[in-house]
Amino acid sequence: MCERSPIQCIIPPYINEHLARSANPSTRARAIANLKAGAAMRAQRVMAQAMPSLMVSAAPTQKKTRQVFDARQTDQLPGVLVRSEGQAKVADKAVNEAFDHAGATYDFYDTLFSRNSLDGKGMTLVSSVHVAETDDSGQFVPMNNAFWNGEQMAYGDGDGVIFRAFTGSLDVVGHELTHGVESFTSNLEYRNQSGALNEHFADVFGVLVRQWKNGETAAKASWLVGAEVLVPAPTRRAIRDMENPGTAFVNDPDLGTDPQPAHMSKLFTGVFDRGGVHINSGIPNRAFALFAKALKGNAWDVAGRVWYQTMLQLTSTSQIADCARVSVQIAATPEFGAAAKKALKAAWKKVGIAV
Amino acid sequence: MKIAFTQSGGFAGAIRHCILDTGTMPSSEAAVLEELVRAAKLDAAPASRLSVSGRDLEEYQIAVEGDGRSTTVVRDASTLSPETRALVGYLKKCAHPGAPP
Repeated sequence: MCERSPIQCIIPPYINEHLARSANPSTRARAIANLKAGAAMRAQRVMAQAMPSLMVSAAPTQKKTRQVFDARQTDQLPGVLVRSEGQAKVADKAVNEAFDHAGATYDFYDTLFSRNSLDGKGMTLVSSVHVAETDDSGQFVPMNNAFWNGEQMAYGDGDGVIFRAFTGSLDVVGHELTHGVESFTSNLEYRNQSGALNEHFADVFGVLVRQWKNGETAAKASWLVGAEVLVPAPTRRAIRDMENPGTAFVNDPDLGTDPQPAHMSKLFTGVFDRGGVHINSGIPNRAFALFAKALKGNAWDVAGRVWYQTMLQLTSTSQIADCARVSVQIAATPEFGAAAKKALKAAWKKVGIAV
Repeated sequence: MKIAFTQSGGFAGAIRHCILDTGTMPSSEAAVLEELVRAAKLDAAPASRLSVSGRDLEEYQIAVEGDGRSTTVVRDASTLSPETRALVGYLKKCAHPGAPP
């Protein structure tokens, strides 16, 4: 009988249910204990999905702590631990990229916003690389994606035709980690306009981490998202263009044409992509890029700070117009200088929102 | 049997789709697809299952029309049953860029 944590047990519930009716009282008692413990673990998993803060092991004195796992071309997460905080570079480039880029993202939030990891309490940054998916015959194939599963990041290697390894882009890593930050702050509901804002903040801070790390001014910096992740082709420059939504790829044989709108009048109202969360993010993306460029200097200094405070003040059901209103209120506060509010109102007007 | 498949979401957010009609496919290919659809038991499954806390997961919509019935299910990469995952694997190979008409 399993006497350890039910997570490590291999006895499935249906065997325990049978044993719970055993003539032997000791067998019955152990089976019932296993079923109760298993049910509690499943209930915790359901709660944790709804409340991410439950999954965090409180370690308030912990600072930057990274773990990178190798999923070894399977879809099982996290996989095998291959690099921990304090350990030197390894031979696997994807592991080092995940490690370094997570570190840069941690440093960005810590240095600029005194934010200690995603939850503000030193939560360990967990990444898995070489994550794969199964095809129609059950074979594992490289994944053309990167995602956040609520607890950790997962990066695919790409098929080498359209996509390269997703760890290759600092803004992709920053984007995924920012989804984590959002789950502990505004927790914008991941559908329709609130979901588009969720995507938008992930793009903003992903790109800002890169600009900050490279020391680029807003005028000289790239406003492209995921450029390094694409196998180069003349029909595609990036996955998204924050300054010019809708132009990142045009008549590309694999990606088609960039569907992002640059103005509220072209808001996507279809059902796909949870109501266009990766599509409508183009509208606030453009407002942010215009705002940052209008102010000159570094995008993270004023625009980034306004946006960080905005992200903290929005709620799970905030719409794009709420983001505009709140960001302008914040920009109007004395710490940001007189030009900020004016520049921001003008930027939102350009994308069709009058504040 | 007609199957309309639309993939969306993922980090890139690109929309791809295909529309297949087993009545116009070579019969051996039609049999493969019909078996994948049958095994996925879409009729008996919830219409929509999407991860609460996942972000940038690929999203799949499968609409099947046949025998006078139509069924549409929406899933993401984390909520697929093994059988639906196999069907999605097949449909992803047929999909091309763009939203359905």
